[in-house]
Amino acid sequence: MTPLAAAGLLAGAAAVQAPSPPVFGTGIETVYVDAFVTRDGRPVEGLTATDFELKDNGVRQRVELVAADELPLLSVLAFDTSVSLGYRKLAALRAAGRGFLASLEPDDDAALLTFSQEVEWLARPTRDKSVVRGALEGLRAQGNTALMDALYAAILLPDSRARKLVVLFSDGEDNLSWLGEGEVRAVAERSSALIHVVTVRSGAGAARHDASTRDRMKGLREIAEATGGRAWEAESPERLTAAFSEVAEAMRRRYVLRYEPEGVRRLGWHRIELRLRRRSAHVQARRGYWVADP
Amino acid sequence: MVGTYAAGRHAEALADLAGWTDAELRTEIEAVRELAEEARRCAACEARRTLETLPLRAAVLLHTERDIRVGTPASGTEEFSPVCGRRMHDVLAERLLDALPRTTASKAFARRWYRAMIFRTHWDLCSEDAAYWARGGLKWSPADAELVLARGTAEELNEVRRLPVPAAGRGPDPTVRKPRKKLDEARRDLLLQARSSFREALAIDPDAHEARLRLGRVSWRLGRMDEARSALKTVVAHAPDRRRLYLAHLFLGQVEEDEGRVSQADEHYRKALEIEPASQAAGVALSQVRFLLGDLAGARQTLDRALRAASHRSEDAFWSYRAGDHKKVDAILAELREEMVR
Repeated sequence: MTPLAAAGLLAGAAAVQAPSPPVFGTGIETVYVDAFVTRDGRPVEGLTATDFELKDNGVRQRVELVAADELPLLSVLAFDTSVSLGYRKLAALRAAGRGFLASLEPDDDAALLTFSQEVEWLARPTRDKSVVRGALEGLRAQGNTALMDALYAAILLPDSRARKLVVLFSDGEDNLSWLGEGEVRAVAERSSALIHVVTVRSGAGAARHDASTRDRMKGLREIAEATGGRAWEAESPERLTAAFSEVAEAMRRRYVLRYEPEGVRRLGWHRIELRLRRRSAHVQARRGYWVADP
Repeated sequence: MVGTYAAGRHAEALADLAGWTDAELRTEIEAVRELAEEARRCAACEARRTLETLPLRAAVLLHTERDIRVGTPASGTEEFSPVCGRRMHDVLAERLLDALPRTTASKAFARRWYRAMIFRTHWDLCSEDAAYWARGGLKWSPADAELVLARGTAEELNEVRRLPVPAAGRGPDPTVRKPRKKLDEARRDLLLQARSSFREALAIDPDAHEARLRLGRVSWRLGRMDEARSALKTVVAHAPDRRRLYLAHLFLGQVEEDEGRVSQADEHYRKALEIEPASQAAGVALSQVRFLLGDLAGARQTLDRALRAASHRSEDAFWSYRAGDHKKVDAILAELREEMVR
């Protein structure tokens, strides 16, 4: 059985220009979907496969639940280290990153990608979390910001069969990216990565937290939600550790659904609709996946 | 204090300046301006001779340096919160500059001082301020192509920084193209102003390659693809220098990509990367196009190579295109200080 779009590979993008066939496509036979189920903001526990109704391109599918801790995770921490962060936020970010790493399972991989105008792999994917912890200590705030380019790199670069989680931290400013939101969103939607975005509420003196930054945060939230993730806002730098713990907690409490698509055309975009059958709760999951022509 | 500064003892002069109250400084500078007014009205008067003895240029530079030093917090020690809007000492410096007699030497000084202010505010990402200083410089030198270009650049970047306009998106299904988002009126106005400034700069100096490059970029943002392509191809044809050749290919790639000609975009991005192999922007652009073409391995490899090049990269010209070049501020001010000592 070939693990699926959701399992570590980017489902191929078909060429916009006709003559160039995608060189990687895949025989996707099994689809994995991460589902976050909450009621009044709190995780809903104890659900079984029969509680979920999932439609793939409008066709109801038979799903089973997989224990989340059975699937190794690759967590890519993508951290903004631009000058707008300043010393206080950076110190809080280091602490939050350390806390998040401590929450990972021994079999999980982690990586640290940082961005100012430069996007850098400070620690490539590794099981040895001490490497990532060490890299966190070297963070320095300087330079402008290429947020969207960094998010693109965090989604695209890790070549792993593990479930891929990107935890992006930023204050929302982006002044030097080549890519725009639309382009990164398209890549995110076609990838299997789950994206969570963490921000910190700006103080009254933050001259830069203007309308454009708010718009950008909205765009980031939409990208995260399209992949099944969400945006988290810490009230202050000191609350960042708590925000990262919430992301870790959400990952632990998530449901992972697995199904083999039936009754649907294999190639192209598959729209996923997921809801609970008999209960009322908020279900957050990726909105679809892409299968390329091999 | 100004004499001390003019003699090259900058730290001492700046320490002295810190001891003055705002009110004292304003009073002093208003007295200079009154003297200048009187000198303008009556060339043969005592006021003219007195004014000529004052080290006004040194005073301008002293106030400018004061704001540059105070406006830059030490890295890692405090929250960085750059504040746009004209700072007090910049305003005082400009008022002193305005007191200079309108001689050729003063005009040359003012032109360079305004350029330094423009570069500095670009670097602080304060495009509206940059536009203000460009307009101020143009009052001294109305037909100066570089100042007209600077005004256009400020207008262009003011628009860019509001929020990047997503290129024509593809959505998750690459066969379905979404139309480019319509520009709102305010953004469109800024872009049209920038376009008009770049054209004006080119009318003054047809070899103003930077103006042509920016005209191409702004035309792309306005959705005038043929105009953009034509301007950028002219830049490539004249191959003015490596930086502009690199940027022209990079921008041409985006024009082609936006029009769905991904193979042509791929070609231009490759050329940009050949010219600047350590460029992050070209690496990201080419990687994304490889991704669109279905070449995931190529997309990863290209991006990975671009990120690995970070250690060999001192600057990506795309960044200085957007954020300006701070080194120019230092260079211009150093040059003006040297002249002052001479």
